[in-house]
Amino acid sequence: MGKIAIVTDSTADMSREKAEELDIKVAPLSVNFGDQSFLDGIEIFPEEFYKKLRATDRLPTTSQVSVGGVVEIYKELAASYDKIISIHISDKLSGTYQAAVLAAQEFSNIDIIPVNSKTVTISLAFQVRMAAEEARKGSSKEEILKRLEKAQQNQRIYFSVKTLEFLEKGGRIGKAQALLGTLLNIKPILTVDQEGYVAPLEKIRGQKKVYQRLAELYGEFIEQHGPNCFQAILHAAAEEEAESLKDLIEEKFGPQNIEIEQLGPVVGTHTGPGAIGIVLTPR
Amino acid sequence: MRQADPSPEKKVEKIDAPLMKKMIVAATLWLSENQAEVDALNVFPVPDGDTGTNMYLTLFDATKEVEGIEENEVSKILDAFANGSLMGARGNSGVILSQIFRGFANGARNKKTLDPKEFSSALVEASKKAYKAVMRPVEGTILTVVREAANSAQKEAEKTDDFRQLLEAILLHAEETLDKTPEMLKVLKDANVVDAGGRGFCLILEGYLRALRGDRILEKDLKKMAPAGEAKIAEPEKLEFAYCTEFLIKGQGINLEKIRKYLNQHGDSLLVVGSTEVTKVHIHTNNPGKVLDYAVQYGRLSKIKIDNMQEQTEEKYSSLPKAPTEEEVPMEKDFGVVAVVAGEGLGDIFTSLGADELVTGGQSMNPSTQDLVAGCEKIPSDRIIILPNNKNVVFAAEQVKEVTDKEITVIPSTSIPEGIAAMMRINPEEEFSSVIKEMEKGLEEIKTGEVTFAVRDSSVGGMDIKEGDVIGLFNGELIITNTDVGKVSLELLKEMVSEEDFLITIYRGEELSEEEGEKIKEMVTEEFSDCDVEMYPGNQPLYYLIISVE
Repeated sequence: MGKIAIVTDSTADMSREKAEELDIKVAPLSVNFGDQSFLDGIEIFPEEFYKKLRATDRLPTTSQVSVGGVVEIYKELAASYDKIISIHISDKLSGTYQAAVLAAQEFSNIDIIPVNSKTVTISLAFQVRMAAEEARKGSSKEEILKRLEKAQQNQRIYFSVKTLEFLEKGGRIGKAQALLGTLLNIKPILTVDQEGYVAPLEKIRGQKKVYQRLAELYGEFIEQHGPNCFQAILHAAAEEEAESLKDLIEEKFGPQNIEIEQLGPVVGTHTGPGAIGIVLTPR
Repeated sequence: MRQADPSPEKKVEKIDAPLMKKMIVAATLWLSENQAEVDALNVFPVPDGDTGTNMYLTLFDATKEVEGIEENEVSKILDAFANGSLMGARGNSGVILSQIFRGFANGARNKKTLDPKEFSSALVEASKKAYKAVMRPVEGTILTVVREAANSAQKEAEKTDDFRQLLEAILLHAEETLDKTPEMLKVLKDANVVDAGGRGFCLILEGYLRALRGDRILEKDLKKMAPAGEAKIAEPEKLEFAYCTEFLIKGQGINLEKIRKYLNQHGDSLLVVGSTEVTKVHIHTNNPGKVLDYAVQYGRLSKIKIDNMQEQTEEKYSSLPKAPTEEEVPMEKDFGVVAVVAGEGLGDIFTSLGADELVTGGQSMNPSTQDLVAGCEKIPSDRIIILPNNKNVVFAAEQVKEVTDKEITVIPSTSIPEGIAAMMRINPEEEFSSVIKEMEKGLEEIKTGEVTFAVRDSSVGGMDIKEGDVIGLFNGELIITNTDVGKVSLELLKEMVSEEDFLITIYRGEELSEEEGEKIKEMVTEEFSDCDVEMYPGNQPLYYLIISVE
């Protein structure tokens, strides 16, 4: 049995250090401000991105990884591995998974399995970390895929955005479309559903109630799956709010092992600044 | 209009159709004459002194039904009257009244004329029907008065064959009973009044008696009287099915009968003709997409033609050239929502949350069952959810079920905030049954506060209230009174807000300026720092503020 390589893309919002530590190759998407294009996680990083975002009145756009870009990565790995598991952003949110499928068809000497994670950001990173752990332990391809499938069934992502404008303009609003145009100041709690679409979970009014509800959703998940989950609070340039959400959760449920992570440029383009959420995946 | 005088000495031994009509008209006119008095009996010092108005408007609509018909059987007159009263029923008192008339009509079924015994047993039916219609009957109300009237009618009918004596005895006993209502119901005693609905019923009996005696009622012509707040504008006729849809199916072994059977449920003017290879379909439907979707399984579709007949009709009837309108006949929806709202701002909020039709109404202006039915009928869906948004409208909303073929679900919201909370929980992607469950859950999660003014001097729960005082109600209960809107709002909120609350929403009424509203919002924001505070223009009448806490 040969070695298994793990690949993902930059929407997993994994730091470069973490990726290197786990030996994971990351295919970058791009963020475009006007005519300028920046490779996510290579040429542009969160701090700088949100600064730029505040300064511009023209919203940035994003581009998926090209097939060629993925082929390059696979080619490099083909020299030292004989299997690749390539885990990507939900195919309902980006064409990157499709690019990976097409790229995989270019290779016959190596077994490449593209995986549609049906999620994004740290939730995607959790799947990648699981796969890397398994690969390191020497688990088989089948064992890894089985664990990923289980994660996909149980993973949850709950988030709230300051305004739906970014999701709408970026064409990622999905089933939350129905929430547009209400006169009341609605702060929906959104999720990425089983198929991988952005979908509204609940309509909430008032920012404080959003935090309360996110904390409750956290509690419900922990009760069902136990505290030993992959768990993180996500935010887009809203570190302070993320800290207070963590405090609220710990006030309700005692000290928890929650990481706080910033949404990367590509995902941040579509949520807009001020987004905050929680991601949970059972181990 | 002067009633024809029967000779004062002559007995009235039976009521025939013309006399019944006369009695009905007389009762309506007599109630109209005394409407203000009944309104003033409303005990609660919030501005809902509308019992007399509601009863009168209900009778008015019912009487219109009767005036138009030429029947010489009493039972037919009473049937038309009962149907009319149900359609016209406004407020709780109107709905109970409509049930009384329904029971009375049932009791007089197949009768050409009525003698005193028959009249009395019909009145007993009326009383039973009214009790049955009310979930939790309360003594000391119109129900008690009707029951006692029926009891005395039965006794008296044994003794006399003259309707004038009978009705005099019934009225006397009904009025005695009415005078006892304060002993049965504490709220009446506190306010030192008799029950308004019961008084209204006595006036109806008195109207009957006046018709029998030939007493003058008033110099008014019912036909020329228009009920308050009703302005009917003629609308272009709405077609039941808007899209004329025609196409050919080309395939093999097309089952014409099966297609006919299926499509029959989706429109009218259906034609399915031709052979098993080429079939022509013609249908008027509200959902051409569904029809085409179904047909395509049988083969290729061709010569598809879809016309909007509604547009065509409207064009035909409009003599002036009109700018093209974007408004189209909407496609059939899974379900529709009718919300009862007063105030433009609140209406806009409900619309933006997905309400399909708004019916104007609320405190002291309860919409009739007919108004609600009209709202339901306008929505191109067979399933309608009604949000009454006021406890006095819930009953009328329930009655809509009786008069429409549509599937009606009433979410018993008793305030605007409850209605909004229910709307917030609608997820159109979900199954209808879980939509209903979610909406009902919404009602429980919200606390409602109202800041308004007292319409009369009164005393409630040990508080002395002067007409014009600002009062604060928490879930319908009066808890604070003062002369300042801001003070009442703060005190009210102190009662309402608990540790688990994080959002205060204030809907500003038409009586307050934006500036006054902002001032109150600032005060509230400062006082309740653990909550978000939002304010929206509701433009509702009578209520300075409607507040929700959640």
